[in-house]
Amino acid sequence: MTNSEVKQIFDASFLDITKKLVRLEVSRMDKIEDEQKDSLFIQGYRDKIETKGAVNTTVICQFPKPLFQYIISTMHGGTSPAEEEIPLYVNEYMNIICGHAISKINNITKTKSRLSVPEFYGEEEPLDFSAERDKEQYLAYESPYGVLQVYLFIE
Amino acid sequence: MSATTILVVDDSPFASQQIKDIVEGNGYKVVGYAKNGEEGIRLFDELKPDITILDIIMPGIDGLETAEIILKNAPDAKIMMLSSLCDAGTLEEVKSIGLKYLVPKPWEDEVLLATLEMLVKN
Repeated sequence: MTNSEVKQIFDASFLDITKKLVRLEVSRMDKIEDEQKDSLFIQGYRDKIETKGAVNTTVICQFPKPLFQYIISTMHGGTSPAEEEIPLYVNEYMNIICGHAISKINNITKTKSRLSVPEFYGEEEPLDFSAERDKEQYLAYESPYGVLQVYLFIE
Repeated sequence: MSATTILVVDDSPFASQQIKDIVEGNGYKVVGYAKNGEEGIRLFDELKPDITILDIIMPGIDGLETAEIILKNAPDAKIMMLSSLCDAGTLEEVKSIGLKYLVPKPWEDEVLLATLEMLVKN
């Protein structure tokens, strides 16, 4: 399976599962220049998940604050969860989207890859992935709450 | 008739709350929640639920290992696995430890309830 095919499967999962899980239709943004990527993420949160096995991928999602708040409050029935539970909601969002994608990949390739437990990074926590940019596949989605950015690093 | 009791083992409070919202009022009562496998095994021994719902991807021991440990001590335990990973290989792993049911996340409410009904009947 090519990197482009892996990217397409993750893309479909982000679109479908975001709609199903948090009732939000996001639209893919094409042709984002490198210098634009940083300016799309001013303040917000990140979540990271890895796939290990036949397909080794690191997926990092960047959520602007308003989008992040929309996702967790929708998953929590319209209100904000307790502070200490917030990471668990966004982790579940990532787990479901990436689990859906990797299941499709496993079924198509008849191979086995597994998901790690997602890791949440708060506003102040550094997550430097600039060195990996040569392996990067990038996806961005426009929503009324800001741009969801997804970095896929496929080994 | 008393409600069928359920223990939910999932590190996600979102999933646990969703399960409670769906099953209660349909003849089931969630009697306990555990956020990881170790806590799930302890609560299973303590609460003796009719059905245990286990997530696969969790910190610490995962849902499959948790199910194996529970089944070792209670071979008749009724267990339903949940996971965002729902490919043929994962289903094979579930079957290999003697379980029949794997419900995908995000689930359809009807599928979850129908699976619980099958577990009760079997």
